[in-house]
Amino acid sequence: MRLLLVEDDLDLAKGLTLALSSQGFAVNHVSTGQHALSSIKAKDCDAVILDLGLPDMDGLDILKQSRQRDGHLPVLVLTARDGVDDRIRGLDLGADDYLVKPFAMAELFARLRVIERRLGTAATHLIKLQQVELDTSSHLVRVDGDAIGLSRREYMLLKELMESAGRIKTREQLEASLYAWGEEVASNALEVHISNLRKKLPKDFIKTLRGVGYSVSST
Amino acid sequence: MRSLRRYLVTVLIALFTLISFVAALQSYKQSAIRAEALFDQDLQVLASSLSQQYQAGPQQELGLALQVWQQGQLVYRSALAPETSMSETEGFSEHNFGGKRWRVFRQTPTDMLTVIVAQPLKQRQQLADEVITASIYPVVLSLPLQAVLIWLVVSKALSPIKRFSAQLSSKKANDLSPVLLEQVPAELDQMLKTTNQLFARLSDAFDREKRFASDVAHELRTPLSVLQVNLHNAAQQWRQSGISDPEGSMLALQVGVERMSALIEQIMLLNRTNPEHFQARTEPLDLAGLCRQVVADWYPQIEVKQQQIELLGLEHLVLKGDAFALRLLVSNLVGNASKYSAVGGVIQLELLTEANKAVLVVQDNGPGIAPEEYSRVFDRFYRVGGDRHQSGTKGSGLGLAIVRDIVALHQGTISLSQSDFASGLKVTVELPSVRANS
Repeated sequence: MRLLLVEDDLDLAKGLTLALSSQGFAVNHVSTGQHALSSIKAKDCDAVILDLGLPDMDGLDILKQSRQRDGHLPVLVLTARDGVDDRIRGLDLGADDYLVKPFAMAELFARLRVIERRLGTAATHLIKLQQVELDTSSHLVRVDGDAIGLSRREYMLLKELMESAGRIKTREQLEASLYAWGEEVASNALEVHISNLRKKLPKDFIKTLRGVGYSVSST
Repeated sequence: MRSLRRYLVTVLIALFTLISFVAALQSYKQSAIRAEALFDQDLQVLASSLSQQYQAGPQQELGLALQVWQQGQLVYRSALAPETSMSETEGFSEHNFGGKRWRVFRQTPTDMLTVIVAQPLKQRQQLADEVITASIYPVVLSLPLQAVLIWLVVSKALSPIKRFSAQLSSKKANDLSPVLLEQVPAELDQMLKTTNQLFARLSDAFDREKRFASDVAHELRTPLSVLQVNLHNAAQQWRQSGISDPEGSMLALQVGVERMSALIEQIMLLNRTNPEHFQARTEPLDLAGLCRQVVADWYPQIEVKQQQIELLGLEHLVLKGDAFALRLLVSNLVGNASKYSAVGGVIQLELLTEANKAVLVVQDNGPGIAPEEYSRVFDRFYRVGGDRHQSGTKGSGLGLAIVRDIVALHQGTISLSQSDFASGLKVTVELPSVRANS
């Protein structure tokens, strides 16, 4: 994945470039907002790591402009500000993720892998976890290579869970998705769908966190 | 009301003048009526004495004594007059006779004739009293009216001061906004300006103090990131070049930087949730949903330690609170439970309502805290077992201090006890004002 690193602190940029390169990312570093915008315009990156505190312009403006230019370019925001309002504004303006400095390198890699997986999915239309393979173009799910029949809602729920593998999807998030798909959500609709889904998938593929939500392991 | 002094002086003088004038007018009228009556009485007396003299009318009691002497002989006396001369002194004098004290006037116009007229002193005083009373009572009657008017005028004049002090005393401790008053008199205006200037300066100072801690932490964040990134790279290079780390110095460095990062994070949060600074934005929120989000946030770390986590009790618990602060509260409790519990440990959250209170119970099966330390763990920078916590986890010592502040912000209570598991800590947070639950 080609990353555009927009960071004005050169020591940090140098360290990040080295660390990200060793993880197999191709990194292009720029230290001003203007350069960032022209790189985004030239479409020579797959995702952007954006520091909000830049010398020449507000990082949030870059975010806004890049969103207007290319709605699908993933942007991971880095910031030394901790303001909750900033965070909300950043996510409102379309940042895909948000990391407050100082951050653990493992956390940064994990978030980038989520973006990469999403991009990869977009390119190959395939998410594969353990024995389960989900094709987002044909809406087909295979277990050990054999296609299984899923209802539309079961498929959408499984896609949600597999796209954010390794993380929890809370009841609220999954129910909100059911709503978004125009479903009349009865109080136990989610449980019913998950239970049906479970019968068709390998044992323990979907983990329940009692009272919290559901998760699919990323490994 | 431009000036308090001018207002009071003008209005009070005008009031006094008006009332005094009315009272004086009234006194004048009343005294005139009395005096008129007096003069009429004189006329009557005169007429009566004349008619008596010529034995033309009936003997009338007028309260006066009359004697007429002619060449030493009493030729006429009225009913009240004695037979002896009432006075031997020419002109005015006072004498006792007939059991009364009299004011006597003797006149001798010719050697032949002496006229003596007497009037009882008591009667004279009575008449004088009537006249004086008539002139005084309007003034006396006007006094309560004056008192009421003075009270009204002074109350009105002082009302801006009353409003000013009411506004000041109704201010909350952390409200440093200026006092706004309309139509302020000149005397109060300066006071108001000075007070507001003081508020503005205080507010600036508070902001600066608040910003300072925040700025310091903020400025430290980028250098810390540089440290973290480069440490990661160095460790990576050591590993690749086959350099072993028998002294654990690289690991110690990494742990140290992580601790410093966590500490800075907590200092900023403590600074933000400090009740003196915090402007809570309370809104109805679902504590259960908030707990689910927090668990989701912590899940990657919890999964790494293969810990079990569950949320029991109510599926929705709506209460009024500050979302940011409450999320931080739950996050610190869940984070502590995960950090201080062993690999494969159990973390349990439970939500219930009790007597109109929302109750959140977070417990784990970690090492727990000795009861004698319960009160101290809420102190800033206090860490159980000092720097040698048996879990090997190095916290900032601020997490529970922040939790305590947030609980206080919401007028709740927090208590620690032995968990229901074989070992571990149970934290019970009670928050008031439950709106509804299902």
